[in-house]
Amino acid sequence: MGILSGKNIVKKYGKDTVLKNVNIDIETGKIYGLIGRNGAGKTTLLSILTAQNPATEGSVTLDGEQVWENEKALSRICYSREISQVTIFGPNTLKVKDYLATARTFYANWDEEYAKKLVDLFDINIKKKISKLSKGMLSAVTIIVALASKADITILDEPVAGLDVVAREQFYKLVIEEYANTGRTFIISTHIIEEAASLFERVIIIDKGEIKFEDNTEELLSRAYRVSGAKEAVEKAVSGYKVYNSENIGGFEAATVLAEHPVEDFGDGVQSEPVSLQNLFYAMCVNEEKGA
Amino acid sequence: MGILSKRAAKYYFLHGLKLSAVSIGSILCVGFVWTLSMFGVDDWNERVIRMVLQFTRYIVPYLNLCYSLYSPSWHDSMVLSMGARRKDIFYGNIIKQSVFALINVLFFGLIALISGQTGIVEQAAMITCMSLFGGAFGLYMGHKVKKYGRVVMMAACFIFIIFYMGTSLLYIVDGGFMAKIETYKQVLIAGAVILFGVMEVLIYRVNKKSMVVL
Amino acid sequence: MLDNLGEEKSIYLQISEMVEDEILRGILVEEEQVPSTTELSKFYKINPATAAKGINILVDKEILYKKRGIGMFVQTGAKAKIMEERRKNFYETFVKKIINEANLIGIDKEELKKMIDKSSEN
Repeated sequence: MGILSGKNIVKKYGKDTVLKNVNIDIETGKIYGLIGRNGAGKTTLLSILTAQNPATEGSVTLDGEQVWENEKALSRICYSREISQVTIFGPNTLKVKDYLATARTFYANWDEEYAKKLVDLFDINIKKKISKLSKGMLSAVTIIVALASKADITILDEPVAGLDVVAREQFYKLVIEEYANTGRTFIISTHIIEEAASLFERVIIIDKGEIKFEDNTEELLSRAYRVSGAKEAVEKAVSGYKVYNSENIGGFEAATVLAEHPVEDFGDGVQSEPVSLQNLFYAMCVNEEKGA
Repeated sequence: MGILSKRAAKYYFLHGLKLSAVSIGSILCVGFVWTLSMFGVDDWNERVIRMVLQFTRYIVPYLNLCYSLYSPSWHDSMVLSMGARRKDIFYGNIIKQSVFALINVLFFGLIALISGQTGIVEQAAMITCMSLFGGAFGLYMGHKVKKYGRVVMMAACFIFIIFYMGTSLLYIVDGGFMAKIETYKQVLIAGAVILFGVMEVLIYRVNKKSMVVL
Repeated sequence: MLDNLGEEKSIYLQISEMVEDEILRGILVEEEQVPSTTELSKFYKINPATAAKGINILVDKEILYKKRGIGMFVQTGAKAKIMEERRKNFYETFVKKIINEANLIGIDKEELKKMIDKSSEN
């Protein structure tokens, strides 16, 4: 098992600090979910971990070796990104088949058979120019490159953003199949949390350039609760725990709570239910907004 | 040299070949059009050949510059996103430009040889130097365009226009100045080579920090 | 993506319970092979490691056993084991809930007994 490790990563664009002292260890052989709001720093973090952008400070190592300009490390990584469709004189004027051919040239483990199968599955016309593809097809091309690269560590940035529900389901199935067959490491950043939550063995939550949580998904959710009931009863029950978001209507209150360890009983007069990853994340975001 | 470097080198080499095919194809097309328009006129074949050679001398450096101008935003960015190292990209561009210059110059030399022109080697050297210099300049500008946007291109055009106007003015003022410059050919070539070296250093530095912008 | 898995419990527990349910219902028969963790993970769209965790619980409980190179099979006597465990937990998992709800809405023991009798008639 290897570790892709980012230590003390800081990234500044001019005066803007986009990543603030990020420390993260990605263990190989797992499926990670990277969750954060727009502008939280997901793409920047992923670019830095894959040496596609230089960090202002800090280092990234894979199995102890620097990733930056390191052939051995880079050939194990695939960070498949969406190509902007609007630039003039950019890769978007390439035809899909040329883009895939370039991928074939660079990814040492590229599986051409698999790529062809995926092109059929997503029904892509590879003679089309990338700038002329629909959003869904563009996402599909990004996914094909990621999967067919057969890279040890495969990173996908918002892969399902343009896909309809049928294509999204196909994507999840493909990832599960690939992971089950090869044990490749996947890091998937997404906004559509709930659909993918059960895919992630570990989840990374990033907000405003800092990593808030990096945990085993199931373990994290096992200590998250939605405690509801009469206002006073709820407030008494959740005192001492970290409350992220509490909503009330009339005298009824529901509080989203994250405990250090699983809680057996919150006491009488309140109901406690598990919280989905999406709702936990939402509660965390709302909490940030309130400036807690 | 590791596998990844080899792959990058191969990519840029093939890319250079493709671009050469485009440039030679364009030159042939242009030559064909000229042939059609001048067929039957006295000495048409000599004149066409001379025009084609003249055209080649200007178009090859110019094309090299153009191709290099959008390389950072396009091919370099793309292969960087696929795992190529910046060092590989730096060498790759040198390979691409050299292949492009070489093949076009060979083509030029072939035509010149067949048509019995003189001073082929000198002219070929000129084309090569101007090509490589144009390519390096274009590549450096390309990095600036990638970082700062198309406003850099506008600024560069502006500078070119001033330069062009300046030389035209000089020509008007002193018609023989071009001939005078010709006598300093060796100095010019040496100067271009040194400038080329300087440009490559600048490119290496700016390339080292390049980011993927897709 | 969870089709019919819910939020109430950890996913791997839901998986092991579902397999147990199928054994109880006779859908999975003793000495027969059960779906592989890969198949389960694809069907329920969950991480294969999670599916494996659920299956391993059943292996530990000696409800399933592994045949090397082939897959997981239902142990002989698994059904009986599951039934016994569930019987032990029946009060906690189901009866307590019914009683709490009954108390909440004012149904006394007599009424409850009548309801149970009525259901066995149908």
